[in-house]
Amino acid sequence: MEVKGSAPICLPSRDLRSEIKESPAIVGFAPVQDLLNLARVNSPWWLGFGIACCAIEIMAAGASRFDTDRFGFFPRATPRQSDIMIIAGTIPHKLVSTIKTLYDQMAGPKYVLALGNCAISGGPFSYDGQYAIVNGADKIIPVDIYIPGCPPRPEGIIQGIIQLQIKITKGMINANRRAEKAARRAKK
Amino acid sequence: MPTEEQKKLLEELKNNLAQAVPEGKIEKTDYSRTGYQLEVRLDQVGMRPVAQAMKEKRFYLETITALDYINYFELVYFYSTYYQEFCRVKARVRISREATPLSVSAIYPAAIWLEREVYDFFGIRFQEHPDLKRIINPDDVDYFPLLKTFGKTKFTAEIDDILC
Repeated sequence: MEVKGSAPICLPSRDLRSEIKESPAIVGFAPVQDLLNLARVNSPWWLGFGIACCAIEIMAAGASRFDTDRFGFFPRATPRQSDIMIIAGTIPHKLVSTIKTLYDQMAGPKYVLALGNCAISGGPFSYDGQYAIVNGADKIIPVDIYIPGCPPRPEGIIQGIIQLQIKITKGMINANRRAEKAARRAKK
Repeated sequence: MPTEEQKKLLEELKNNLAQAVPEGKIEKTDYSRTGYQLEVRLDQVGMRPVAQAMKEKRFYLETITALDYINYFELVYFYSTYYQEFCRVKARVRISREATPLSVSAIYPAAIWLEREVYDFFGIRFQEHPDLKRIINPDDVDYFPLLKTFGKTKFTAEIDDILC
């Protein structure tokens, strides 16, 4: 099927190259699950929930300079409406039950980003004999993406989001980018 | 340098404290070096008279903390004021390891949370405290983390197993 004059939209199917060679504008077909994932990937709303100083970097990433809204990535005030939980900071033992409750309240499919060294492994607060913190978010809930840094720059957060989007669509975004490049090359 | 009013206040305070706790050792200290003007060393009996004397001079309770000297504990009370000339007083109370000191929460309600914190980290039980339970650590743990013996007995992996 051809639609002349329109820009290429997402291309989830396999043999991209051969299709593109024939026509730059294509309507792709995909399993329903892939289409649902495409919807999810363009509106990953995160739970507005900052534990420690990494939350400052999330605020910076959400504000106008870095503007994660352009990825459809912005905070919701309630776990019922969120898709992503960002563990932004050190997790004290007393917060474990709260984090578990919030995670359970989120509707699936849900994803978790561990932001910063504290959420990855306990960071600078982890030593033998400490009593206060959990050594990494993955001790209590499953984590999809780890973003290192102390704290990570907003660019790091944005890269983490994009990695998560790639993970959600099982690499479809990468394929789409490759397709766009190939289309540009074919035009030349 | 202390002003005239400050000197006057300190003298009054010293006399009041000497009346309230005759057995306590009261000494002036160099504020620029220690951060407080007056230091009172006490045993367990003198905590409430000192708190009462401080309340009468319109001091507020800044903090309560404790020190673990292995053979004994020392409670430290900081009182200070800015309603008149600025002044800070440190009261050091030496207690035995098994002692249950008196709570000052009847005189200073702010002491309720501060004493809960001391209990939480050192296991010192205050008498006549209205609600003595943990405040910062989770309710179900069985350790007192700021004791000198703590690091040798409990390790991170163990605590992870208990709580996670």
